[in-house]
Amino acid sequence: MASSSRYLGLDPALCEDLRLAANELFTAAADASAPMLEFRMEGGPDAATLTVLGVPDLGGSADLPLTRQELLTALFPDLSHDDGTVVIRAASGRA
Amino acid sequence: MGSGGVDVEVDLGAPHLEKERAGFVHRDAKLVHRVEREVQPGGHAGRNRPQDLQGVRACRSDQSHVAGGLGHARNPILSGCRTAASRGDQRGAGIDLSIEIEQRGRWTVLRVGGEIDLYTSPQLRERLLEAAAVETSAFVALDLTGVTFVDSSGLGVIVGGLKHVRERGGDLLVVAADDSPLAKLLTLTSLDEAVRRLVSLDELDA
Repeated sequence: MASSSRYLGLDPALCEDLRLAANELFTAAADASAPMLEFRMEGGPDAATLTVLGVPDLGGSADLPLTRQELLTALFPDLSHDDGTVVIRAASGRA
Repeated sequence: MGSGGVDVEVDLGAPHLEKERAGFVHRDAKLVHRVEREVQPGGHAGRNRPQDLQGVRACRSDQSHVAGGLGHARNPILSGCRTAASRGDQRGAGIDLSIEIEQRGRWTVLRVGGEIDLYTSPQLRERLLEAAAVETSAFVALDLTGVTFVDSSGLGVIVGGLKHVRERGGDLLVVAADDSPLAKLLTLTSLDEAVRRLVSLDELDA
């Protein structure tokens, strides 16, 4: 994910945030025994969009006082999660 | 910035090659490197023949060594690959996480380097609980200045460890710079109010 973000010329800090988001989504899918994930990264002139299909749940772990949904929303306020599809749209900044 | 798109599909349930791809996404180039290194001792150049996947099978077959207790055991690739890292054997050595332990007064210091995520956090949890299991070592300092990435799995280990040592009358703190990934995550989750953080190990009281 970090490589994809860098390839698209995103700001390094945003690359790290997207990497964390992808990591959390992968973990969420693994926790839920999801059979398959699909990641799609799109870069545009002003924003990057990460779409992930196959994430059934964005809950948390017993040791954390917040859910992954809350964590990811804190990173990306525009995050949406509907019917297993997560869409994150972030202002891209300049590399 | 440039424009365009990158698609990656990850099949978490299909046989070997798909599992390698899942590892690629999760671990970026490092797991690809690991898988390739596992395959090489078999002496096969290609990667699509069944015999080329011996290393992957070996990794997955190691699941029996960590049966239970570590969580995430339902997913074969995650539990199998985690096994290599937790055991610190040749397959897992040098990948992602290093932990050194030293004593500073009443504090047991775990110097951690690398990345803390779903894949490596069980190893950290194991070492942390080992350190806290010693009666006189219920004070644990996690030196994370060498950590370049941490996700909620790592955060869970820290919070779980904090609960554990406090139940034993001890304490746990972390050492990480203000601009570190951990500091950002702690702030983001408001856990900076619960987890004591030092910017340098030199601040540790005896």
